[in-house]
Amino acid sequence: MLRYLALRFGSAIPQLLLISLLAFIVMKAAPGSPVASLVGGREFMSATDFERVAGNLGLNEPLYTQYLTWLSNVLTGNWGYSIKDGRAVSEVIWVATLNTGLLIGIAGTGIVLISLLMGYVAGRWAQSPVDYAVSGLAHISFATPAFWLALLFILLFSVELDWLPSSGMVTLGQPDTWHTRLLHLVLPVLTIILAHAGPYIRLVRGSVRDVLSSDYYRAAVARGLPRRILLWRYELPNALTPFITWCGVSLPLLVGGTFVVEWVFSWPGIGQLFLKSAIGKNYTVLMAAVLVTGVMVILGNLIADLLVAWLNPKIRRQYGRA
Amino acid sequence: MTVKTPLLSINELSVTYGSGTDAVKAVRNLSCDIGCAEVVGLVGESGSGKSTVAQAILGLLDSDNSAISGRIEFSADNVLAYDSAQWRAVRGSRIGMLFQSPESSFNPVTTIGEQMLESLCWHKALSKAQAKTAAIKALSDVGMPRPDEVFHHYAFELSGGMCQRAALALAMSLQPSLLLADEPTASLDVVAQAELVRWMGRVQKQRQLAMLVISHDLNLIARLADRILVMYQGEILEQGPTRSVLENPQHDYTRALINAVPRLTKYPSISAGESLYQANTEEVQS
Repeated sequence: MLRYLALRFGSAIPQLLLISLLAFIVMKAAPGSPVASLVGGREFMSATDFERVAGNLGLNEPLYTQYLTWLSNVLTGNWGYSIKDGRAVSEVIWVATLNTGLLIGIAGTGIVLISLLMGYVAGRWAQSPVDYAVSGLAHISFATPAFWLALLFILLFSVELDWLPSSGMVTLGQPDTWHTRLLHLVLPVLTIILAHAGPYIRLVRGSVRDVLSSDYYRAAVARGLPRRILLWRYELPNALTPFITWCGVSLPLLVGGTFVVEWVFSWPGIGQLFLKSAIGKNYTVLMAAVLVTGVMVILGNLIADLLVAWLNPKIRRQYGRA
Repeated sequence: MTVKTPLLSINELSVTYGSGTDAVKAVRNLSCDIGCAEVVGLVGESGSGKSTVAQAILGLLDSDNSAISGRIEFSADNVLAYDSAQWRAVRGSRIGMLFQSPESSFNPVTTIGEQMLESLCWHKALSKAQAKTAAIKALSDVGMPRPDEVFHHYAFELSGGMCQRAALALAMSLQPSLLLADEPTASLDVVAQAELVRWMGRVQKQRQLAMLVISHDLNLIARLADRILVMYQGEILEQGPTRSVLENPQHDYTRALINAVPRLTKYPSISAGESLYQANTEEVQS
């Protein structure tokens, strides 16, 4: 298992390097300059001023020097300063990561619980009214874009009914209590869950059906084993493997979806930071956001892989005893 | 040695899959008895309804998709009227079953040993330690080399032949009085087939086990069965003692089945069934 862990960790490093390099190239290839967005446009400053500011920011160095400088700084723990307001990138990114982590953490847990429960029920009682209801919901969820659902929720629950806040993490002018934070979480979390749970539910339903129609399940039933053993030792472990793999694989989708939801609900997370710094050409923050997102996705995949390896004796045996 | 009180009695069994115009009658008015310690071979080509019979005996048919009529009595008890608790008490502990594909009939995420333990602990109310002793004994009873190692293996780590013998051990560890073997050798190579048949025969004699061996393989049937039922398109065409059916088949279809068995002689002859029977009985007796 340790060998497997080392192997997977080892492969994460080149992945992260590649991600940061690609992000850097795309960013540099896009038109515009952070200097221009600082003052609101190139026409507002003279060419000499422009060159001076760009030089101070290190933007006149050759591209590979810029990248390598950034890389060596990041590796020594120096994430640089935001071009926009001079705040330490590490601080900006840390706060945003926590906020996004909170959102994805709660929504992700919700998706896992809901899809396991609903998917199991639908798969176990396939072609029953319960299954039709669950599968119908899953299809709707599949087809619903997060941004549209978010707007619908804001219209319904914030504007029409005035039950829940529509944006931010706290209400301006009111004390910042856990209660108000919780209220602010409801709509974004709900949006993410409802817009993403569909494929997960369908996957669980499918793998539960696969297990129930498998030879080993039939053999277990033919041995007269009780429901308790069938559920905990046959159905769940075997249905979980594809589910966990899918959770890992689909993590980028979930992160991307969360970014959209953050934008609509003005949630001060990485997604918002991402978009704002991309628009403002805030290179240092953008690169940090790319890196943190990359680390989150790779780490999530790694955890999923380890869980699958732990559940799957074939992988465990291959790496385990060595 | 065949005792005549039937352990299993099937009366006018019919199984229909589907309904309306799509309905397929998989089994038609099948009647047969299996006595204690008697081995009955059910032969027929693929799709003749053989497996459906075995599944009906254990109540494994999907009730939404199939209709059963007739009676199946096990120890004079009508099993078709069983509820799920009664089924659980009979399945495994009184009627065991061997399946066609040995590797996939084991749970891929637990070891052979754990699967033996869970069944033994459930059916026989044994402690873990007692169950482990029983499981290892069951494995060595079917000639498994190094049973205590096999105990810790997963099915994918064993060969097909070893897996099927482990499945036989698992079934036999619960001490059933009837074993249903549904094409047990179909996915094995010839060496593994011979090995399995040898151990099935040995276990059957030791335990005085009744068996229903379902196969299209006449070699297997000839070696194990006391009596043969020939099934074609859901119906029993012919039945009788193994010897007389193989040596003196009454039905064209039976003759065709016997002649379809590959032999090392150049031309199949009328006495093919006879030589098949003799070759196999000699082997078992030796």
